[in-house]
Amino acid sequence: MGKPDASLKLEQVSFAYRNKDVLDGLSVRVRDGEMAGIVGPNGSGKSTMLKIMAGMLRPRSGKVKLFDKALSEYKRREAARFIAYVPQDLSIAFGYTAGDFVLMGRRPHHGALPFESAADAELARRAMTETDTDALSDRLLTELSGGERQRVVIAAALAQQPSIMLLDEPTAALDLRYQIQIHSILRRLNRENSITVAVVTHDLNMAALFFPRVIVLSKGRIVADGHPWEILTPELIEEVYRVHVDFTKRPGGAPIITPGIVAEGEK
Amino acid sequence: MKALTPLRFFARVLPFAIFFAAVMILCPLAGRVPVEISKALDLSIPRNLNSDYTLLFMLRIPRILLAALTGSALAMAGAAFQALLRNPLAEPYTLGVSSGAALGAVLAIKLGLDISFLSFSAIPLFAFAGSLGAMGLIYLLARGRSGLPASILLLSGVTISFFFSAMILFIHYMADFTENSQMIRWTMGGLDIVGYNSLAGLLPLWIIGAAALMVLAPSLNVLSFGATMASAKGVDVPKTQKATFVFASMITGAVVSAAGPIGFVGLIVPHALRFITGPDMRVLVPASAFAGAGFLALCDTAARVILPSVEIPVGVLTAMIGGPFFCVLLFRYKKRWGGGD
Repeated sequence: MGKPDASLKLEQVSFAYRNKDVLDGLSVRVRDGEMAGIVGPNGSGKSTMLKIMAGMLRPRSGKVKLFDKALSEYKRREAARFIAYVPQDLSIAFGYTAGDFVLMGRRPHHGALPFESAADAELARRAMTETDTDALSDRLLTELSGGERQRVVIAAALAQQPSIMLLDEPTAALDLRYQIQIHSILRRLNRENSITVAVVTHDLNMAALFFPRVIVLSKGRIVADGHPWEILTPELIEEVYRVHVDFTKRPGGAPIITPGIVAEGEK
Repeated sequence: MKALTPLRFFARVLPFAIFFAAVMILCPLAGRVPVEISKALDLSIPRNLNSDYTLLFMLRIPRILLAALTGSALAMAGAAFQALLRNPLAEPYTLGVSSGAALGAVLAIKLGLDISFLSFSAIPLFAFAGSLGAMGLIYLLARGRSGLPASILLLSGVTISFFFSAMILFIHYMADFTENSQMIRWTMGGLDIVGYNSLAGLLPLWIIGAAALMVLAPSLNVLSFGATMASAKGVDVPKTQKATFVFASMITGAVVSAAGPIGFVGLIVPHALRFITGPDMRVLVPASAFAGAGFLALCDTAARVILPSVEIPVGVLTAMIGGPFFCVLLFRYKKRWGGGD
């Protein structure tokens, strides 16, 4: 068997909700071991693109390939052994503990019997250690703070032992410290566990700091794709987001992007 | 972190199995008329002359077995519907399956039908047909490309339920006094049967339904976090939703046709067990089966013996006994429940 040339590939993918086109002939390849950020304005189709990559949505036309085989040919359970998708929010109806939930990540690997083994427990425990959630194991999910809960959700995704993790705005509701923490965890998983990571985010600065590759979407098309220090130019951002931005560079080279408006108290 | 190994599974279900076994052994002995076991088992007396045999084996034991099947089916179906609808207030009757059964039953009473099929009389047959009809209608109404979305399923089910209730009221209004009292008695639920015929009809449906819900249990755990999360964890969401709805409705319809819409068991037993065992459906489904069976058999035995001269309809007693018990649980464990806001 030849070595697969890409982990996950979209070819000419289009998608529409009712009559509203969301993705328009989009092609992209996320290579094995990459860590990519997907950015773009609201409604640009980035969450839809991630859901299609995860097999949560089927494209109206075009192909999605996981290891050179059509994603639609995988059973849901098989796909979940390779791809761990982390949705934007977690809605909790019953009193499961964080540990219960992380163990559910082992579900795609189980056979017909509903039981877990000591090995499952060990993998779940390791996933919780990686995300610094060991101490939360017996706490109810409803009792956790936003940052704790998000790390538990990532731990559950990690317990799937995926090759690819796809996360939809994992830091949207988190404070600065947790934003950095979550991104650092993802970077470590990418580097040390060689998990391919793709993250939808609104935070251009965080994307520029953590992702070696950023894909910029606008109106259902990819308008830029590459290293954030090269592609996140003021011209591109102003064109895509239709706002004026102040643009500076850190001494190391990473861009700093702030809204180009007069601040409170400034003259 | 506690992985559910087979050993831990049995350890967690065992107490409920013991409770069930104890109820099953003790309840046949209770009754207003004392039974001599040795006489009941005495084969030298012709059976049609052995009143102890008749009382024990043809009346009490079938009745207790029907209570057990009914209680366990309702409790399992309740646990499944709560997870499927992601709503702790859901119960087997939320979606109109019981209204369908009731419509069938009142129709059979109003028409005074005197037919039977495989030794089942018209009322349970019509009730079961009604429940299947309701199930089919709700299914067709709620079905979408992505399965049976919880909110649409709930709305379809409640609408069908209201519609059927209106038709039931209409039939009540058109019925005479005797028919009406017969209808009202049916809706109170009753487990008084003679012999094993209706049990034999019920058992295969119960076995299929219980096995299906056990298989679905791990998927239902994840499904309670929403369709997207379940799908992300490898659950085939449309298949899980449809199978859960069909099998939980089927066992509900089957036991309601045989015993009437006995309330409270399907709502409270799984709910109470969540306080005790936690929400894991893999434990909750079998624990509900044992606890629901034991609880209803106990309630029905109380219904038989509590008043010296008359039997109380068991559907009245379930809430009268279960309500205070549940209040105690609620008071003790409300902090541990954690069902969101």
